[in-house]
Amino acid sequence: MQFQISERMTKPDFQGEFVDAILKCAASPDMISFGGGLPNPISFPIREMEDAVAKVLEKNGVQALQYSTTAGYEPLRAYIAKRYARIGVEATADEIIITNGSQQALDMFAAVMLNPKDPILLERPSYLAALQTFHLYDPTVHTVELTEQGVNCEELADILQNVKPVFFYAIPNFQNPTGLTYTVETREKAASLLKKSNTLLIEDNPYGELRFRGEGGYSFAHYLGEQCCMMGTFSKTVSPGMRIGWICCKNKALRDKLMAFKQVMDLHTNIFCQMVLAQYLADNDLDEHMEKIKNLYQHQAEVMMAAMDKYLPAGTSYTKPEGGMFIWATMPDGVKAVDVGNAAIKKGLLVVAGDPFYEKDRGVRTMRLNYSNSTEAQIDAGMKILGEAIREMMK
Amino acid sequence: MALQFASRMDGLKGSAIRELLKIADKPDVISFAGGFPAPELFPVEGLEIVSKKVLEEDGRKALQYSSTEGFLPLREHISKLMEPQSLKADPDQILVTAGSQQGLDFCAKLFVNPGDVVITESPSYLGALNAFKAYEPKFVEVEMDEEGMLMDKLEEALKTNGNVKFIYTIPDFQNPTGRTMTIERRKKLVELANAYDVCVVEDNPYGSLRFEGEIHPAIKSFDTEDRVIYLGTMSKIFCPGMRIGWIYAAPAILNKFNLIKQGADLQCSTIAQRECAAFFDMYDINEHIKKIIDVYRRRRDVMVNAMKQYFPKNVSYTYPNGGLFLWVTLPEGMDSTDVFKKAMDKKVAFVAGEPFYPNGGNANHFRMNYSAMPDEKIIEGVKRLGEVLNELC
Repeated sequence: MQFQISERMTKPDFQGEFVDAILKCAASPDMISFGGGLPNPISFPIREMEDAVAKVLEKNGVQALQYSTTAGYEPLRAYIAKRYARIGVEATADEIIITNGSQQALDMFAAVMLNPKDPILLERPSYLAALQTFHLYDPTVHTVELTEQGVNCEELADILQNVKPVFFYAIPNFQNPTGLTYTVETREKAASLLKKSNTLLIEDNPYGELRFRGEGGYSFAHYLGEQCCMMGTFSKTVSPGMRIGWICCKNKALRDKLMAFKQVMDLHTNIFCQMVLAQYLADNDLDEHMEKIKNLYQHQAEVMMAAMDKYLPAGTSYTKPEGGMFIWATMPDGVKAVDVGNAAIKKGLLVVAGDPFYEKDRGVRTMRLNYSNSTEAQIDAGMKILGEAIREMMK
Repeated sequence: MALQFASRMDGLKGSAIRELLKIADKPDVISFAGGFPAPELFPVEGLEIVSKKVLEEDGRKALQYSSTEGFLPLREHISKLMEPQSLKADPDQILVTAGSQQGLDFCAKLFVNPGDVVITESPSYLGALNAFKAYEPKFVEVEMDEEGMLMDKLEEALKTNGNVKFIYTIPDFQNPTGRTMTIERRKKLVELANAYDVCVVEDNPYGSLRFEGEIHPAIKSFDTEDRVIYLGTMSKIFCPGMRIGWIYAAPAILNKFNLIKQGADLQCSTIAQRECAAFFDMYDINEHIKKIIDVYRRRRDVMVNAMKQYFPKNVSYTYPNGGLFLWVTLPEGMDSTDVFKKAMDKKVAFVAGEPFYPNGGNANHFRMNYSAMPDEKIIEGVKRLGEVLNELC
């Protein structure tokens, strides 16, 4: 049959192919992948999780398997709220909604806030799944340049004033894909601009806890109060397989709407996983666990940068991350990252060209390299392949 | 700041019913309002064993991201689970979803533009109506009798409405009425869907919970043109807390659902999927389902017998052959919300009928759940309700 689908689903989706390819590669063991955003599974607290599962089922088995509330498990929300003090925000459990990973939070914000053609603002480049998700709601997408210091405030001021976006989606810490972090100065400047506007800041922060060098800044909520909604996830700190993320929303009217939508979407997030995670966090010191991950990722980042210096031809440059999971590399003049990516995949290496991270630009020279999920040997072998692929394209 | 919300949120106003249910959710109230499975039947011990195994043998994979379509061994089990309903599903035509509620949301997202028509049974499942409402459809209701949707009324609805996107039906032990669609009507429904070129969303959360008689073939089993979308769930036969459901549909449709799933939440919990699959590996799910059926059948009998004893003669109710609910009809002109208020004084609760009708009206009905309560409480609750009804009817 020729079935007739809704307008929102008839739009071409170029980002989807990339996400799909990345997830499929995650399952293919022979490929070296710098493509995904996968945490390193050697960091997963398997033993501790086993204890947590056993405890939850033994003590509260029925509660963990029954229907539950839309907002999420209270002890988990309380834990999340308390941790916000570290980035200068006072939050309460009531302000937290548990979501199926932070991906669901993206969908919820778009569903609750966007009518077709409404203007929204993202960084240029930005997280590809965010672009993909927002597009389903048919907004008018505007982008603002991301510099080494964070968002370009001059351009931001102009857009806030003239375009009046419904929201600005930003990742101020170790941004995906660039790995860049906003300086304190940029945060203050951007916050003062936003304050004068009626634009909600959606601050995504999946990597903020993964700082292995330097000092971080406050959350935008510190400056903006309820004009800033924060998103978070345990995917990069504990386990992505649990699919537990959250929204911290201080504005009650918006929070009620988000909750109403979450309820019709899927009633609530997996309560079993929420309780297991809360038990794990109660019995273990997350900071201690994070130290291990940060040391691991710092080492891997250094190995990757050393391999880049060793194998990549002159004219290639890259950002030096202070945390997170990504390096953002720029190919030599005249070399398209897509072509390099296609050459590399034939040699057994997956990288993601910068293209899907941009709303408009195509044939860009940038690419995202993930260092968290490869062994040292894979990083070395992969970078050798990448060097060869770039040289081929330079001919 | 002044926040502006999408117009799709207008249909999702916190309903009066949710407020009433909050009152009902007190420990001293006997509540027939929920749709919860009996918690004492959850396989807690089996899960303890299975969880240990999954984490010990495959911990790294269980805690990592995984593919959008879902864990293959789980999809193979799901395929087997649907066999008694005469379905032979290729696991590749199954997408694992966050409960069947997510499947409902996806159906509306895929098909419905504002103003498009969705045809539903009258009455229909409240959670589905709310999920669809977010996409701003026009609802056309089709009258039912004890054998499900009336096919001549369905044809009339298809004939007189343009832009019908799909027919939404719960053919087995329908929520809220407990009614089951006959096999003849299932065939006829597919014929009509073919003739008028519309899709069918077959929501089947209770199909395997049949107390007596033969399991009916799913509507999907009569599908000749790949237009039936089947929604299933583990919530009523395993547990709801893990939020595992599925969509079974033709590849062209499933590919779209896959894309929607990516945008919605990437995938369902890897560890929950693996535990569910491991449970199905180690235990006989049909044995487990049998246990559930025995308990629910007895509870239905207890409820119906108590109603015979305590309800006035001018109040009627359905006799479901499976599932979790039965449907009470009061004399014409009565409002079940009035009954609800009086019942709350006696600390007994149910769900008033009106919200199950997408276009309102029909206030003289209410829904009773019998799955989640021990016998004595069912009897006591029905007795109190009978006192209220005898006063009002």
